[in-house]
Amino acid sequence: MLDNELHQAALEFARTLRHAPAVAAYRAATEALDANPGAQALLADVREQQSTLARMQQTGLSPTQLQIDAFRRSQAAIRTSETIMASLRATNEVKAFLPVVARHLSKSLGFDYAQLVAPQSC
Amino acid sequence: MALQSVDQATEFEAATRTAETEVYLAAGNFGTALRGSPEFVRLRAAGAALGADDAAQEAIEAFNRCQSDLQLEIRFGTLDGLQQAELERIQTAMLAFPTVAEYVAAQSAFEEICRETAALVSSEIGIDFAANCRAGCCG
Repeated sequence: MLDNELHQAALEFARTLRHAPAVAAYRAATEALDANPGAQALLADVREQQSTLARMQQTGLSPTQLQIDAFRRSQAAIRTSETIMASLRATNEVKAFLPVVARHLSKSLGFDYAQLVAPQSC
Repeated sequence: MALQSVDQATEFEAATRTAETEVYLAAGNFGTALRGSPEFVRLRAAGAALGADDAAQEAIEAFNRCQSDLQLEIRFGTLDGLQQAELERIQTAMLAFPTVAEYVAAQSAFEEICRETAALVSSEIGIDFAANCRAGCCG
């Protein structure tokens, strides 16, 4: 349970972080993507194809030329969607920015904050 | 027109840098607040006591040596019964030192409040802060 002082400090940090350009841009891009059914359908389609191709690869099957062409068309459609591309750019930017923020926090703390809280994924 | 565009871009970059600097300062202040927490003070005291306990240090080194010797078996989950028992025996001996036990408990308590702060930050910014505050290889 956080004491009041620490709770306030965390909240102040979070509110400042919320207004950082990279975070604000990510939130705006995510909202735009959520509100765009066409973009959602394109993403669902390409994920489905990726999943099918991955399953085939795992079972030692080769995709047909038709499947490869369909996948290429879906990828091309994704690249023409400004909403999706803006979302990808914003995601990359926030993923680059947050570790830098965490490093500043860790420097002040004298401990690796990311190591303390982050799940070890790799 | 072109000059105006350059000025706007420059202003945007300056505003972005200012906002980022504010975030870094806020992160520093938050780190300072974490350092002042009772859990951190306890962890530092536990670390100092552990550092001064030579017998506990030897027990930790013995455990680390054993773990290092069995690194591959642990990684591949192929420890046999004897190896498992030996590792557990050395670990139990290490944790029996009050200074070690206190350090482990203090670290766990500090990790817990750090996770709580990360959850609070995540809830406020709408992004999983804990999962994204480390530059990872798997995104």
